[in-house]
Formats: sequence, structure tokens, C-alpha cells
Amino acid sequence: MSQPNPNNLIEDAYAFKLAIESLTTHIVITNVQGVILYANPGVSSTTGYSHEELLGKTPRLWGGQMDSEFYALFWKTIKEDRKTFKGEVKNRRKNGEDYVARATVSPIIINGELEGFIGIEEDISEHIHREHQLQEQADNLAFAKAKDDAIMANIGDGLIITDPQGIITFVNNQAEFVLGMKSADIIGKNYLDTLVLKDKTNNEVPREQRPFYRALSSLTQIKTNFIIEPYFLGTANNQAVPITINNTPVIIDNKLLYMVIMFKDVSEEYKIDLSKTEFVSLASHQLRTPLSTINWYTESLLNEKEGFTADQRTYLEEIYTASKRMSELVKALLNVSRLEMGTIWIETKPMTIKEAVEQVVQEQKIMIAKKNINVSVQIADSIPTIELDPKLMNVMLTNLVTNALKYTPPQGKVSIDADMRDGVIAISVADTGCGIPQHQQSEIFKKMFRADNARSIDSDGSGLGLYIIKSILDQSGGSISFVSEENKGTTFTISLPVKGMHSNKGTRQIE
Amino acid sequence: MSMANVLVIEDERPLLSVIKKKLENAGYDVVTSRSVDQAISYLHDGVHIDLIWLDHYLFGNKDGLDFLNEIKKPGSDWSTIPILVVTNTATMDKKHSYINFGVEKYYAKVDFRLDEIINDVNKLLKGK
Repeated sequence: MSQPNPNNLIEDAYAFKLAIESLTTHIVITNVQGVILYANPGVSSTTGYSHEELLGKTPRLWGGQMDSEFYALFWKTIKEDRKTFKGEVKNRRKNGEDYVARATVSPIIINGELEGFIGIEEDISEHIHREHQLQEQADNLAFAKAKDDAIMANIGDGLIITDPQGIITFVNNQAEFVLGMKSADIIGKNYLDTLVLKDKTNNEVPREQRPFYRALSSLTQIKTNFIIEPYFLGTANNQAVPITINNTPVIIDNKLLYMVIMFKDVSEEYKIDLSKTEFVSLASHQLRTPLSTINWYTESLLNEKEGFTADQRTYLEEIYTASKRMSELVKALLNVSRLEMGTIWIETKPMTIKEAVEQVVQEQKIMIAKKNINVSVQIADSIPTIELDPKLMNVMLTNLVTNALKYTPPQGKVSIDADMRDGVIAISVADTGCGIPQHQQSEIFKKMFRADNARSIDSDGSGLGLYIIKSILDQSGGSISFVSEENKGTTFTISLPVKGMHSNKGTRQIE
Repeated sequence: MSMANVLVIEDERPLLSVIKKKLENAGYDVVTSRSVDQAISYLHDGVHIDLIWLDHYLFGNKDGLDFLNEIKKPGSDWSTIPILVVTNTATMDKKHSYINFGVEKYYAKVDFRLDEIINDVNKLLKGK
């Protein structure tokens, strides 16, 4: 074994000292009594005591914060057992600030004799502080989540959350209550398969018409209004609960994360609405008797050949016209209440669209002649004889045709066309009238809604006609749409399945 | 030619009188009743009736359907008398019940002129 080169030794020692003195870790060398013989600059920077203040003192200067049991073990380990002690100790800086250090203290043994100790400490208070912060953050998050969970679970409306595939991941208490199902039984199942949605006629709503499906496929929020889209939620015990639903896709960074479905049980509102409807029905019935009396007596007076002046006859005619209009309004109100109170009676028989259209045109011939309107009827020969309810067809077409005649100026044109397209029979009534203002087009099928310009042309309309048509079609398997341009005209199109209407022994009959 | 007899069963007095007046003007003898029981008692008294003009809601606790149940029952002497149902208040499936009884026609008062119904009466009783 070769002797170490003294020059190298000095160089090594110098490098070693440099390394030790540049450490932030503090290193202390003491004698057996614990008196400090060496302290690196790290000690000063950690404890705040200068090198001079440290020399000749013991580490009690900054230590000594632990209990006696700790020190007993400490001294036993390093002095009696001559082993290295490792542990966390609480220290105090010169400025009185406490800090925690990880300490390693080893005995220095030279030739079997205990000569002193070398202590290395590392200030870990920053580390502990950060750990505390993290823990606090985690606690806060957990609390916030628990709070959110509690809110979601207990809000008064039904709440269901699904993943982008429509698999149920969350069901709140109210949803469980309304559905009569336990969340454990439905979580993990497909939303569309698990929740049954029915329409007013107690038929299941087809998948692609369901608000959830529409929201998922369009990635837009779909909110239902019970007046326009009355949906009923099928429950475990076969009840149908009237609801409004709000389906919201939650999209973050262009990615669909969840579907949030909130539904509100509107049973109470529905009950109130029904009793209102029943009242309207009852009141309308009662109104009919005096109206019939007025109608028939005025008619009798008008039939008198003599005894009235020309003016008196005009007055009688005005009374008769007004009474007839009132009768029509009462009839419309009754029809609306019938449509709202239950399912309508649909009694089909084979008939042609041509028959239905021609009957209506015939009935309106006085008005057509009075306004000198050019009415054209074109029915495609390809349309077969189909199953239709003559009364309902008449109610719908009369409403469309009288509207077209009413809003088209004298000498204008009204076209009634029917053909087969896209697997449906489409009957269009196009007028050259005032049109529907763009900003009011979305409201046109609402009950009692009348566009501003329609109101100014004819102040007597009820705003019930289109609502009645839509309600009839909703129940008989058809649909209605329109295109309209203000001051150019409007085209309404009724679409019926090629098979025609489906019969239904409902509880109410439309007149 | 003897005049035909029409029994009008209608509870509203003003309507009853205008119907009676119009039918009389058209040349008919008119018997009126405001309740089912009274109408039945006329029939039992042997008043000859050629046509019945019937409302649905009537005085008393019987309605037009109760009346038909009575006169259309098997063995009834009056089951072949033509009947016109003229009403406002019978709704929904009631209309079907009337049609099932084989009435001649069902009218919603408010939708028909009195003359139209009288015309139908004339058609039914022509030749009497």
C-alpha cells in the first residue's frame, strides 16, 4: 500500500472543507462533553448565531426543546452504545423562531476512544410546512366535495349524471324518490334504457325524440316546457309523473365529460292546470245554452219578412254574427280543454285527402267569394286513400284555410297542395298574406298566442287554432311545420304518416 | 191531412218556446216537456207522437240517455219513433251512446241553425 501524497492530501482536505462550508445543512463537531469545536456556516445561517457565538457552547444553544426521555435515549445511543442517533428534533433560532430539523449525530471514535460527536442537522420546517399546506388543501377539497355531494344529494329536484356513453354515474335522493328506485340499482345502467319517458297519451317517447338523446346528439342543452312538451316519467310502481327536464352536456376543452339531467316533478302544477282546464270546460258548456238561445232567437227574427227597417236588420245581423263568433270561440275553448284533459277520440275511416280538402273549401266558399281570393287545390294522384278521422281533418284544415283566407288581402292567392314526400303525406296551405314576424315565429303554436300583425288585421281570433292542430297531430301521429316571411305569406304543412292516423278510443271528442 | 205530433223534451224554457213556435209555424202539433218523467207520462197517457226532439241534460235526475233506455227497451210501444238529439252539453262518448241507440241524428245546438233542424224534421215526417 503506497503512502498518500501529502500534496494531494492537502488539496483533498481543502476541497472537502469547501464543500462542507458551502452546505446549507449544518454540521457541528463537539468534544465528548458536547462543546462545539467546529460549526460550518450552515449552522449560523440556520440558527442565527454567529461563528463566535457558537464556539465553546453546546448545541443546547439552539436545541434543548425536547423532553428528558428524548435526551436520555439520545445520550445513551451516542455515548453508551456509541451508535448513530437519527431523529427529528425541535430547535429554536436565535430570533426565538422554532423549527424542526432532521438530526443525525454520530460518535467520533479514534483508536477505540470516544473523542467527540459529529452532528448533522437539516432544517425541514419548510418541508413540514408544505406538507401541512398540502394536507390542508386536501382537507379543504374533501370538505368542498362533501359539501357539493350533500347539496347534489339533497336538492329538491331530481338529478342524474351520466358519462358520455349515457351510463348513469350519479342519482340524487329526489331522483330516487320520484323514480321509486335505489341509486345502487341503476348506477352503471344505460340512462335511456332505465328511465322510461311517456307522452300525454301514455305512449313511450321514441328514443330519438327524447330530450336526453337530442341533447347528447346535438351537444346542446335541451330544456323542456311542460305546456309545449308534456313528458311523464315512468316510475318503478308504474306511475307516470309529470315532469320538466333539463339535459345539459358538460363540455370542457371540446370534450364531453358528463350529461347532467335535472328533472322537476310538476304534479302539483299539473293538477292545478287540470282543474283550470276542467273549469274552462264547465264554463264553456254553460255558455253554450244562452248562446244557442241568442242564436236561435236572432235567426227567428232575421227570418221575419217584414217589420224591421234596414238599419234594424243590420243590427240583428251584427248580433247574429257576434253570437256565432262567440259560439266558435266557446267551441275552440272546449276543444282545447278536451285536448288537455285527456286523450282524444280518434275514429278513422278510409278517405282521401281530396275529399277532406274539398269539403273545407266548399264550406268556406262564402268567405272566398267575399274577398275574391284565388284558391287553387292540387292533390297529387299518387296519394292513396288512407285512414283519417273526418272530423279531426275538418277541424285542422278549416283552421288552416280560414287563417289563410283571413290574413290574405282581397284578390290574393291561397294554394292548397298535397303530395307524398319523404315517406309522409304533406298537405300544405300557402297564403299570400301578412306572414309571421320572425321574432314571433317560435311562439306560434303556443296556446292563445297571436302575432302582432295578425292581431291588427283581425282582432277577434282566439289564438287557439294552431295550438289545437298541433295537439291533434301530437295525438294522432302527425306533425305540423311552417315557413313564413313577413308581408310575403305563410305556408303551413301538415305531415301525416302514409298509413294515416291511428285510431284511438280516447276520452274526449273534438268538435 | 192530420198534423204530425212532435214531442220536444228540453229543459231551457226560452229554447223550448222558440222550438215550439218554429215547429208550429212549420205545421206540427207540439207537445213539450222539461223532464224525462213528464215525457214518459205523456207517452203512457197515450198521446200519439211521430217524432221526438230530445235534449241531454233535463230537469230532474234523468237525462236523455235514461229516456232512451226507457222507450227503447224490448217490447216498448215507442221504440220505433224517430228521435233527433239536439244538445249542447252531452259530450265525448255520450254522443256514441246516442248513436248506438239508433237515433236519427245528433246535433250540437250551437253549431246548427234552427231552420236546418226543422228541415230535417220535415224530411223525416214528409208524407204524414
